[in-house]
Amino acid sequence: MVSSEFWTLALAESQARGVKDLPLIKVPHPVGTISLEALHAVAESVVDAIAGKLMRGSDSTSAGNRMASQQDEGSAAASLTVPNDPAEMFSFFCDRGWTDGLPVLPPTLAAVQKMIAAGGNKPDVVLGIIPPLNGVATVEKVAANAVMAGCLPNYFPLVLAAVRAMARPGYNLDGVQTTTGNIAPLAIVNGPCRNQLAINYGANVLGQGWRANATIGRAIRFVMTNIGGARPGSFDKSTVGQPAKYTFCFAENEEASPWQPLHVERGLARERDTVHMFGASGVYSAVDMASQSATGLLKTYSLTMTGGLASGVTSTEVLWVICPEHAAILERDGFSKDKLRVELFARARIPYDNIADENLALLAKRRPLWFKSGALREIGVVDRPEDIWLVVAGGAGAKSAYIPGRTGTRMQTAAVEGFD
Amino acid sequence: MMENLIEIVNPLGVPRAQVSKLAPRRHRSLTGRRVGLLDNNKPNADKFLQLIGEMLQARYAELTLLAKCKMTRMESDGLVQLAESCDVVINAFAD
Repeated sequence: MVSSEFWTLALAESQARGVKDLPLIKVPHPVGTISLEALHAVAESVVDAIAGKLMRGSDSTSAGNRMASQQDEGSAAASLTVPNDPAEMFSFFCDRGWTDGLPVLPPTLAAVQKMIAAGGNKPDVVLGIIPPLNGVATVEKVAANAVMAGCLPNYFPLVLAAVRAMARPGYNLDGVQTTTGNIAPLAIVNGPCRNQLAINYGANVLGQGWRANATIGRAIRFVMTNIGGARPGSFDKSTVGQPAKYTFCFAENEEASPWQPLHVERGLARERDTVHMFGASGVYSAVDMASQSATGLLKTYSLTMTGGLASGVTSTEVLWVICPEHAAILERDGFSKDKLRVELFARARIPYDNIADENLALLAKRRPLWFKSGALREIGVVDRPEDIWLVVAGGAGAKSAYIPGRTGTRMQTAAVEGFD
Repeated sequence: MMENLIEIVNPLGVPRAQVSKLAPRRHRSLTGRRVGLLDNNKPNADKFLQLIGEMLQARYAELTLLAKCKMTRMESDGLVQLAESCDVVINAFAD
Protein backbone atom coordinates (compact mmCIF):
# COMPACT_ATOMS: atom_id res chain seq x y z
CA MET A 1 0.00 0.00 0.00
CA VAL A 2 1.46 3.28 -1.09
CA SER A 3 0.12 6.78 -0.62
CA SER A 4 -0.32 8.66 -3.88
CA GLU A 5 2.51 11.12 -3.24
CA PHE A 6 4.94 8.19 -3.15
CA TRP A 7 3.51 6.24 -6.09
CA THR A 8 6.16 7.07 -8.70
CA LEU A 9 8.89 6.50 -6.12
CA ALA A 10 7.43 3.08 -5.28
CA LEU A 11 7.32 2.15 -8.98
CA ALA A 12 10.91 3.29 -9.50
CA GLU A 13 12.18 1.49 -6.40
CA SER A 14 10.43 -1.75 -7.25
CA GLN A 15 11.97 -1.55 -10.72
CA ALA A 16 15.43 -0.74 -9.30
CA ARG A 17 15.18 -3.77 -7.02
CA GLY A 18 14.27 -6.04 -9.88
CA VAL A 19 10.66 -6.64 -8.83
CA LYS A 20 8.80 -4.41 -11.24
CA ASP A 21 5.66 -6.54 -10.88
CA LEU A 22 5.47 -6.01 -7.13
CA PRO A 23 1.75 -5.84 -6.33
CA LEU A 24 1.03 -2.27 -5.26
CA ILE A 25 -2.17 -0.52 -4.20
CA LYS A 26 -2.47 3.25 -4.26
CA VAL A 27 -4.26 5.12 -1.45
CA PRO A 28 -4.80 8.90 -1.37
CA HIS A 29 -2.15 11.00 0.37
CA PRO A 30 -2.04 11.90 3.25
CA VAL A 31 -2.73 8.96 5.55
CA GLY A 32 -0.91 10.09 8.67
CA THR A 33 -3.02 13.12 9.52
CA ILE A 34 -6.57 12.02 8.68
CA SER A 35 -9.31 11.01 11.13
CA LEU A 36 -10.19 7.42 11.97
CA GLU A 37 -13.46 7.86 10.09
CA ALA A 38 -11.68 9.01 6.95
CA LEU A 39 -9.19 6.18 7.36
CA HIS A 40 -12.09 3.73 7.49
CA ALA A 41 -13.50 5.03 4.22
CA VAL A 42 -10.12 4.71 2.50
CA ALA A 43 -9.70 1.17 3.83
CA GLU A 44 -13.17 0.17 2.55
CA SER A 45 -12.30 1.49 -0.89
CA VAL A 46 -9.16 -0.63 -1.27
CA VAL A 47 -9.70 -3.76 0.81
CA ASP A 48 -11.06 -5.92 -2.01
CA ALA A 49 -8.29 -4.86 -4.34
CA ILE A 50 -5.77 -5.80 -1.66
CA ALA A 51 -7.38 -9.20 -1.14
CA GLY A 52 -7.20 -9.73 -4.92
CA LYS A 53 -3.50 -8.94 -5.01
CA LEU A 54 -2.79 -11.41 -2.20
CA MET A 55 -4.38 -14.41 -3.90
CA ARG A 56 -3.22 -16.77 -6.61
CA GLY A 57 -4.34 -15.95 -10.10
CA SER A 58 -4.50 -12.27 -9.31
CA ASP A 59 -3.42 -9.66 -11.78
CA SER A 60 0.19 -9.95 -10.73
CA THR A 61 1.65 -8.29 -13.76
CA SER A 62 0.19 -4.93 -12.71
CA ALA A 63 0.68 -3.22 -16.04
CA GLY A 64 0.65 0.08 -14.23
CA ASN A 65 3.83 -0.86 -12.44
CA ARG A 66 5.85 -0.65 -15.57
CA MET A 67 7.42 2.70 -16.12
CA ALA A 68 10.45 4.09 -17.80
CA SER A 69 13.17 4.76 -15.31
CA GLN A 70 13.91 8.40 -14.72
CA GLN A 71 17.51 7.57 -15.52
CA ASP A 72 16.73 5.97 -18.87
CA GLU A 73 17.19 9.06 -20.94
CA GLY A 74 20.82 9.03 -21.92
CA SER A 75 22.01 7.31 -18.77
CA ALA A 76 23.62 4.49 -20.71
CA ALA A 77 25.75 6.79 -22.84
CA ALA A 78 29.27 7.09 -21.44
CA SER A 79 29.72 10.57 -22.84
CA LEU A 80 27.59 13.40 -24.22
CA THR A 81 28.10 16.61 -26.10
CA VAL A 82 26.99 19.85 -24.50
CA PRO A 83 27.11 23.52 -25.57
CA ASN A 84 30.52 25.12 -25.11
CA ASP A 85 29.04 28.51 -24.29
CA PRO A 86 29.02 28.79 -20.45
CA ALA A 87 25.50 30.20 -20.15
CA GLU A 88 24.05 27.69 -22.61
CA MET A 89 25.92 24.86 -20.91
CA PHE A 90 24.52 25.91 -17.53
CA SER A 91 21.00 25.91 -18.96
CA PHE A 92 21.63 22.45 -20.46
CA PHE A 93 22.50 21.08 -17.02
CA CYS A 94 19.68 22.93 -15.24
CA ASP A 95 17.05 21.80 -17.73
CA ARG A 96 17.92 18.17 -16.96
CA GLY A 97 17.96 18.59 -13.21
CA TRP A 98 21.67 17.73 -13.03
CA THR A 99 22.67 20.67 -10.80
CA ASP A 100 21.56 22.17 -7.50
CA GLY A 101 20.49 25.31 -9.34
CA LEU A 102 23.94 26.90 -9.22
CA PRO A 103 26.48 26.91 -12.08
CA VAL A 104 28.72 23.89 -12.57
CA LEU A 105 31.97 23.17 -14.39
CA PRO A 106 31.79 20.82 -17.38
CA PRO A 107 33.02 17.29 -16.62
CA THR A 108 35.19 17.18 -19.74
CA LEU A 109 37.05 13.97 -20.44
CA ALA A 110 40.36 15.65 -19.52
CA ALA A 111 39.05 17.11 -16.24
CA VAL A 112 37.49 13.78 -15.21
CA GLN A 113 40.74 11.95 -16.06
CA LYS A 114 42.68 14.32 -13.81
CA MET A 115 40.20 13.78 -10.99
CA ILE A 116 40.36 9.97 -11.37
CA ALA A 117 44.18 10.04 -11.37
CA ALA A 118 44.18 11.98 -8.09
CA GLY A 119 41.95 9.36 -6.47
CA GLY A 120 44.40 6.54 -7.07
CA ASN A 121 41.69 4.11 -8.21
CA LYS A 122 40.71 2.72 -11.59
CA PRO A 123 37.66 4.40 -13.18
CA ASP A 124 35.47 1.29 -13.00
CA VAL A 125 36.01 0.57 -9.29
CA VAL A 126 32.59 0.51 -7.59
CA LEU A 127 32.29 2.50 -4.34
CA GLY A 128 28.71 1.63 -3.60
CA ILE A 129 25.15 1.50 -4.89
CA ILE A 130 23.20 4.74 -4.54
CA PRO A 131 19.43 4.49 -3.97
CA PRO A 132 16.64 5.07 -4.81
CA LEU A 133 17.44 4.11 -8.43
CA ASN A 134 20.40 1.97 -7.32
CA GLY A 135 22.88 3.78 -9.54
CA VAL A 136 26.35 2.28 -9.53
CA ALA A 137 28.81 4.77 -8.01
CA THR A 138 31.93 4.06 -10.04
CA VAL A 139 35.05 6.16 -9.54
CA GLU A 140 34.47 7.69 -12.98
CA LYS A 141 30.87 8.72 -12.29
CA VAL A 142 31.81 10.18 -8.91
CA ALA A 143 34.72 12.02 -10.59
CA ALA A 144 32.37 13.58 -13.17
CA ASN A 145 30.16 14.87 -10.37
CA ALA A 146 33.16 16.13 -8.39
CA VAL A 147 34.34 18.11 -11.42
CA MET A 148 30.86 19.60 -11.83
CA ALA A 149 30.84 20.57 -8.15
CA GLY A 150 34.13 22.47 -8.53
CA CYS A 151 36.43 20.12 -6.60
CA LEU A 152 40.18 20.33 -7.07
CA PRO A 153 41.61 16.92 -7.98
CA ASN A 154 43.39 16.61 -4.63
CA TYR A 155 40.02 16.75 -2.83
CA PHE A 156 38.92 13.64 -4.68
CA PRO A 157 40.17 10.98 -2.23
CA LEU A 158 37.93 12.61 0.41
CA VAL A 159 34.91 12.49 -1.88
CA LEU A 160 35.57 8.80 -2.55
CA ALA A 161 35.78 8.08 1.19
CA ALA A 162 32.54 10.00 1.78
CA VAL A 163 30.70 8.00 -0.89
CA ARG A 164 31.99 4.72 0.54
CA ALA A 165 30.84 5.73 4.01
CA MET A 166 27.39 6.87 3.00
CA ALA A 167 26.69 3.75 0.94
CA ARG A 168 27.03 1.52 4.03
CA PRO A 169 23.79 0.03 5.39
CA GLY A 170 24.11 1.83 8.75
CA TYR A 171 23.75 5.21 7.03
CA ASN A 172 20.37 4.13 5.65
CA LEU A 173 20.86 6.07 2.45
CA ASP A 174 17.48 4.87 1.10
CA GLY A 175 15.82 6.77 3.90
CA VAL A 176 18.10 9.80 3.67
CA GLN A 177 17.42 10.08 -0.07
CA THR A 178 13.65 9.76 -0.08
CA THR A 179 12.40 10.95 3.30
CA THR A 180 9.97 13.82 3.82
CA GLY A 181 12.40 14.96 6.53
CA ASN A 182 15.00 17.65 5.94
CA ILE A 183 18.08 15.48 6.38
CA ALA A 184 21.32 16.66 4.75
CA PRO A 185 24.50 14.62 4.35
CA LEU A 186 27.23 16.14 6.52
CA ALA A 187 30.90 15.28 5.92
CA ILE A 188 33.25 15.86 8.87
CA VAL A 189 36.97 15.72 8.11
CA ASN A 190 39.83 14.77 10.46
CA GLY A 191 43.56 14.39 9.92
CA PRO A 192 46.47 16.28 8.35
CA CYS A 193 44.63 16.78 5.04
CA ARG A 194 42.60 19.53 6.75
CA ASN A 195 45.62 21.80 6.60
CA GLN A 196 47.03 20.51 3.32
CA LEU A 197 43.72 21.09 1.49
CA ALA A 198 42.68 24.21 3.43
CA ILE A 199 39.47 22.68 4.75
CA ASN A 200 38.02 25.19 7.17
CA TYR A 201 37.83 24.28 10.85
CA GLY A 202 38.08 27.81 12.26
CA ALA A 203 35.96 30.93 12.01
CA ASN A 204 32.61 30.48 10.19
CA VAL A 205 33.29 26.76 10.10
CA LEU A 206 29.75 25.79 9.09
CA GLY A 207 29.44 28.73 6.72
CA GLN A 208 30.54 29.84 3.29
CA GLY A 209 33.87 30.90 1.87
CA TRP A 210 36.12 27.84 1.61
CA ARG A 211 36.41 26.02 -1.70
CA ALA A 212 37.20 22.63 -0.16
CA ASN A 213 34.29 22.69 2.30
CA ALA A 214 31.87 23.99 -0.33
CA THR A 215 32.78 21.71 -3.22
CA ILE A 216 33.38 18.43 -1.32
CA GLY A 217 29.92 18.72 0.23
CA ARG A 218 28.44 19.69 -3.11
CA ALA A 219 30.06 16.72 -4.88
CA ILE A 220 28.41 14.40 -2.33
CA ARG A 221 25.04 16.02 -3.09
CA PHE A 222 25.57 15.60 -6.85
CA VAL A 223 26.38 11.91 -6.37
CA MET A 224 23.07 11.53 -4.52
CA THR A 225 21.11 13.40 -7.16
CA ASN A 226 22.76 12.27 -10.38
CA ILE A 227 23.96 8.75 -9.57
CA GLY A 228 21.21 7.88 -7.09
CA GLY A 229 18.47 9.73 -8.95
CA ALA A 230 17.03 11.54 -5.90
CA ARG A 231 15.82 14.72 -7.58
CA PRO A 232 13.89 17.09 -5.34
CA GLY A 233 10.14 16.86 -5.76
CA SER A 234 10.23 13.52 -7.55
CA PHE A 235 12.20 10.99 -5.51
CA ASP A 236 13.68 13.35 -2.92
CA LYS A 237 10.43 13.84 -1.00
CA SER A 238 11.68 16.37 1.56
CA THR A 239 8.77 18.57 2.68
CA VAL A 240 10.78 21.76 3.30
CA GLY A 241 14.43 20.70 2.96
CA GLN A 242 17.18 22.90 4.40
CA PRO A 243 20.06 25.01 3.02
CA ALA A 244 22.62 22.36 4.08
CA LYS A 245 21.24 20.17 1.29
CA TYR A 246 23.32 22.30 -1.12
CA THR A 247 26.55 21.41 0.65
CA PHE A 248 27.65 20.56 4.19
CA CYS A 249 31.26 19.73 4.97
CA PHE A 250 33.64 20.95 7.68
CA ALA A 251 36.73 19.82 9.55
CA GLU A 252 37.37 19.40 13.24
CA ASN A 253 39.57 21.98 14.94
CA GLU A 254 41.94 19.36 16.33
CA GLU A 255 44.50 22.04 17.21
CA ALA A 256 42.08 23.83 19.54
CA SER A 257 40.47 20.73 21.03
CA PRO A 258 41.39 19.68 24.57
CA TRP A 259 40.07 16.20 23.78
CA GLN A 260 40.72 13.31 21.40
CA PRO A 261 39.51 14.17 17.91
CA LEU A 262 36.56 12.28 16.46
CA HIS A 263 38.59 9.94 14.23
CA VAL A 264 40.78 8.84 17.14
CA GLU A 265 37.64 8.08 19.16
CA ARG A 266 36.55 5.99 16.18
CA GLY A 267 39.73 3.93 16.39
CA LEU A 268 41.94 5.58 13.75
CA ALA A 269 45.44 6.98 14.19
CA ARG A 270 45.67 10.74 14.67
CA GLU A 271 47.66 11.17 11.43
CA ARG A 272 45.09 9.22 9.39
CA ASP A 273 42.92 11.33 7.12
CA THR A 274 39.29 10.48 7.75
CA VAL A 275 35.80 11.40 6.61
CA HIS A 276 32.73 10.83 8.79
CA MET A 277 29.27 10.98 7.23
CA PHE A 278 26.51 12.17 9.58
CA GLY A 279 22.84 12.70 8.72
CA ALA A 280 22.13 16.30 9.77
CA SER A 281 18.62 17.61 10.28
CA GLY A 282 19.44 21.25 10.87
CA VAL A 283 21.81 23.48 12.78
CA TYR A 284 20.68 24.92 16.11
CA SER A 285 22.76 27.76 17.46
CA ALA A 286 23.76 27.37 21.12
CA VAL A 287 24.70 30.88 22.13
CA ASP A 288 26.23 31.12 25.60
CA MET A 289 28.47 34.15 26.05
CA ALA A 290 27.87 34.43 29.77
CA SER A 291 28.44 31.06 31.40
CA GLN A 292 31.82 30.82 33.06
CA SER A 293 31.53 27.21 34.17
CA ALA A 294 30.60 23.80 32.86
CA THR A 295 27.47 23.92 35.03
CA GLY A 296 26.15 26.85 33.02
CA LEU A 297 27.10 25.37 29.67
CA LEU A 298 25.37 22.09 30.53
CA LYS A 299 22.14 23.98 31.17
CA THR A 300 22.43 25.82 27.87
CA TYR A 301 23.29 22.71 25.91
CA SER A 302 20.52 20.55 27.36
CA LEU A 303 17.99 23.35 26.83
CA THR A 304 19.07 23.51 23.18
CA MET A 305 18.75 19.76 22.78
CA THR A 306 15.18 19.77 24.08
CA GLY A 307 14.09 22.88 22.21
CA GLY A 308 11.54 21.11 20.03
CA LEU A 309 10.26 17.74 18.93
CA ALA A 310 12.65 17.53 15.97
CA SER A 311 15.67 18.55 18.03
CA GLY A 312 14.55 16.46 20.99
CA VAL A 313 13.28 13.00 20.23
CA THR A 314 13.60 11.94 16.60
CA SER A 315 17.33 11.29 16.23
CA THR A 316 19.15 7.99 16.60
CA GLU A 317 22.34 10.02 17.07
CA VAL A 318 23.04 13.73 17.59
CA LEU A 319 26.12 15.90 17.13
CA TRP A 320 27.58 18.84 19.02
CA VAL A 321 29.96 21.25 17.31
CA ILE A 322 31.61 22.79 20.35
CA CYS A 323 33.48 26.06 19.91
CA PRO A 324 37.03 26.17 21.32
CA GLU A 325 36.12 28.68 24.08
CA HIS A 326 33.31 26.45 25.41
CA ALA A 327 35.59 23.38 25.10
CA ALA A 328 38.26 25.12 27.21
CA ILE A 329 35.75 25.84 30.00
CA LEU A 330 34.44 22.28 29.96
CA GLU A 331 37.94 20.80 30.06
CA ARG A 332 39.04 23.14 32.85
CA ASP A 333 36.06 21.99 34.92
CA GLY A 334 37.06 18.37 34.56
CA PHE A 335 34.87 17.27 31.70
CA SER A 336 36.18 14.55 29.41
CA LYS A 337 34.14 13.83 26.29
CA ASP A 338 32.63 10.79 28.00
CA LYS A 339 31.65 12.73 31.10
CA LEU A 340 30.07 15.42 28.94
CA ARG A 341 28.06 12.78 27.07
CA VAL A 342 26.81 11.23 30.29
CA GLU A 343 25.82 14.60 31.75
CA LEU A 344 24.05 15.75 28.59
CA PHE A 345 22.24 12.44 28.34
CA ALA A 346 21.03 12.77 31.93
CA ARG A 347 19.83 16.36 31.50
CA ALA A 348 18.43 16.50 27.98
CA ARG A 349 14.97 15.10 28.74
CA ILE A 350 11.52 16.20 27.61
CA PRO A 351 8.61 15.62 30.02
CA TYR A 352 5.63 13.71 28.56
CA ASP A 353 3.46 16.70 29.41
CA ASN A 354 5.30 18.88 26.88
CA ILE A 355 4.52 16.49 24.02
CA ALA A 356 1.23 16.20 22.12
CA ASP A 357 -0.75 13.01 22.81
CA GLU A 358 -0.53 11.85 19.19
CA ASN A 359 3.24 12.23 19.24
CA LEU A 360 3.51 10.41 22.56
CA ALA A 361 1.59 7.48 21.09
CA LEU A 362 3.98 7.38 18.15
CA LEU A 363 7.01 7.67 20.40
CA ALA A 364 5.78 4.76 22.52
CA LYS A 365 6.31 2.63 19.41
CA ARG A 366 9.49 4.26 18.19
CA ARG A 367 11.30 4.85 21.49
CA PRO A 368 9.94 2.03 23.73
CA LEU A 369 12.84 2.43 26.19
CA TRP A 370 11.17 5.57 27.60
CA PHE A 371 7.79 3.94 28.16
CA LYS A 372 8.72 0.94 30.29
CA SER A 373 6.69 0.51 33.46
CA GLY A 374 8.14 2.58 36.26
CA ALA A 375 9.92 4.92 33.83
CA LEU A 376 10.01 8.60 34.70
CA ARG A 377 7.50 10.45 32.57
CA GLU A 378 10.16 11.91 30.26
CA ILE A 379 11.93 11.09 27.01
CA GLY A 380 15.67 11.36 26.45
CA VAL A 381 17.05 13.00 23.35
CA VAL A 382 18.82 9.74 22.46
CA ASP A 383 18.73 6.26 23.97
CA ARG A 384 22.36 6.12 25.16
CA PRO A 385 25.11 8.63 26.05
CA GLU A 386 27.31 7.20 23.29
CA ASP A 387 24.77 8.35 20.71
CA ILE A 388 25.91 11.93 21.35
CA TRP A 389 28.88 12.84 19.12
CA LEU A 390 31.15 15.73 20.09
CA VAL A 391 33.56 17.64 17.85
CA VAL A 392 35.41 20.89 18.45
CA ALA A 393 35.30 23.42 15.63
CA GLY A 394 34.96 27.13 14.99
CA GLY A 395 36.86 30.30 15.74
CA ALA A 396 36.78 32.90 18.51
CA GLY A 397 33.54 33.48 20.37
CA ALA A 398 31.28 31.56 22.71
CA LYS A 399 28.79 30.05 20.28
CA SER A 400 28.45 26.35 19.60
CA ALA A 401 26.06 24.43 17.35
CA TYR A 402 23.79 21.47 17.93
CA ILE A 403 22.99 19.22 14.98
CA PRO A 404 20.25 16.63 15.50
CA GLY A 405 20.30 13.55 13.32
CA ARG A 406 17.70 11.22 11.89
CA THR A 407 15.82 8.13 13.00
CA GLY A 408 17.68 5.06 11.81
CA THR A 409 20.80 6.76 10.46
CA ARG A 410 24.14 6.28 12.21
CA MET A 411 27.37 8.15 11.51
CA GLN A 412 29.74 6.22 9.23
CA THR A 413 33.50 6.70 9.26
CA ALA A 414 35.87 5.95 6.38
CA ALA A 415 39.64 6.40 6.22
CA VAL A 416 40.80 8.38 3.19
CA GLU A 417 42.75 6.18 0.77
CA GLY A 418 45.38 7.41 -1.63
CA PHE A 419 45.91 10.93 -0.34
CA ASP A 420 49.47 12.09 0.22
CA MET B 1 33.43 17.84 -33.23
CA MET B 2 31.69 21.12 -33.88
CA GLU B 3 33.35 24.13 -32.37
CA ASN B 4 30.35 25.09 -30.28
CA LEU B 5 29.99 21.70 -28.57
CA ILE B 6 32.24 19.93 -26.10
CA GLU B 7 32.29 16.33 -24.96
CA ILE B 8 31.64 15.51 -21.29
CA VAL B 9 31.46 12.38 -19.17
CA ASN B 10 27.82 11.53 -18.47
CA PRO B 11 27.33 12.27 -14.76
CA LEU B 12 24.20 10.12 -14.43
CA GLY B 13 24.38 6.77 -12.69
CA VAL B 14 23.67 3.55 -14.53
CA PRO B 15 21.24 1.50 -12.42
CA ARG B 16 22.57 -1.83 -11.19
CA ALA B 17 21.00 -4.62 -13.20
CA GLN B 18 18.95 -6.66 -10.77
CA VAL B 19 16.11 -9.09 -11.22
CA SER B 20 14.48 -10.60 -8.15
CA LYS B 21 11.66 -13.09 -8.00
CA LEU B 22 8.43 -12.19 -6.27
CA ALA B 23 7.18 -14.60 -3.64
CA PRO B 24 4.60 -16.87 -5.27
CA ARG B 25 1.00 -16.33 -4.25
CA ARG B 26 -0.05 -19.86 -3.50
CA HIS B 27 -3.55 -19.42 -2.17
CA ARG B 28 -6.79 -19.12 -4.11
CA SER B 29 -8.61 -17.80 -1.06
CA LEU B 30 -7.61 -16.00 2.13
CA THR B 31 -9.86 -18.24 4.24
CA GLY B 32 -7.85 -19.64 7.15
CA ARG B 33 -4.71 -17.76 6.10
CA ARG B 34 -2.27 -15.88 8.31
CA VAL B 35 -1.98 -12.27 7.13
CA GLY B 36 1.05 -10.22 8.23
CA LEU B 37 0.63 -6.46 8.68
CA LEU B 38 3.95 -4.68 8.24
CA ASP B 39 3.73 -1.10 9.38
CA ASN B 40 6.33 1.56 8.53
CA ASN B 41 5.88 3.25 11.91
CA LYS B 42 4.34 6.38 10.48
CA PRO B 43 1.28 7.92 12.16
CA ASN B 44 -1.94 6.03 11.36
CA ALA B 45 -0.11 3.25 9.50
CA ASP B 46 -0.86 0.73 12.25
CA LYS B 47 -4.51 1.80 12.51
CA PHE B 48 -4.95 1.66 8.75
CA LEU B 49 -3.45 -1.82 8.48
CA GLN B 50 -5.56 -2.99 11.41
CA LEU B 51 -8.71 -1.72 9.67
CA ILE B 52 -7.74 -3.52 6.48
CA GLY B 53 -7.05 -6.67 8.50
CA GLU B 54 -10.43 -6.53 10.25
CA MET B 55 -12.22 -5.96 6.95
CA LEU B 56 -10.46 -9.01 5.51
CA GLN B 57 -11.51 -11.02 8.57
CA ALA B 58 -15.12 -10.02 7.89
CA ARG B 59 -14.78 -11.35 4.36
CA TYR B 60 -12.76 -14.55 4.96
CA ALA B 61 -13.38 -17.05 7.76
CA GLU B 62 -10.64 -17.95 10.23
CA LEU B 63 -8.22 -15.40 8.86
CA THR B 64 -5.61 -14.48 11.47
CA LEU B 65 -3.58 -11.26 11.70
CA LEU B 66 0.03 -10.77 12.76
CA ALA B 67 1.09 -7.14 13.15
CA LYS B 68 4.67 -5.96 13.18
CA CYS B 69 6.00 -2.45 13.11
CA LYS B 70 9.13 -1.95 11.11
CA MET B 71 11.65 0.63 12.23
CA THR B 72 14.42 0.45 9.67
CA ARG B 73 16.42 -1.99 7.67
CA MET B 74 18.86 -2.14 10.57
CA GLU B 75 16.30 -4.28 12.39
CA SER B 76 15.52 -6.48 9.45
CA ASP B 77 15.86 -9.70 11.44
CA GLY B 78 12.24 -9.48 12.47
CA LEU B 79 11.22 -9.49 8.81
CA VAL B 80 12.48 -13.05 8.39
CA GLN B 81 10.40 -14.22 11.35
CA LEU B 82 7.38 -12.43 9.93
CA ALA B 83 7.87 -14.06 6.53
CA GLU B 84 8.09 -17.48 8.18
CA SER B 85 4.95 -17.08 10.23
CA CYS B 86 2.65 -15.59 7.55
CA ASP B 87 1.07 -16.78 4.34
CA VAL B 88 0.83 -13.26 2.91
CA VAL B 89 2.00 -9.83 4.07
CA ILE B 90 0.59 -6.34 3.55
CA ASN B 91 3.18 -3.56 3.84
CA ALA B 92 2.49 0.14 4.38
CA PHE B 93 4.85 2.51 2.60
CA ALA B 94 5.11 6.32 2.85
CA ASP B 95 3.27 8.94 4.91
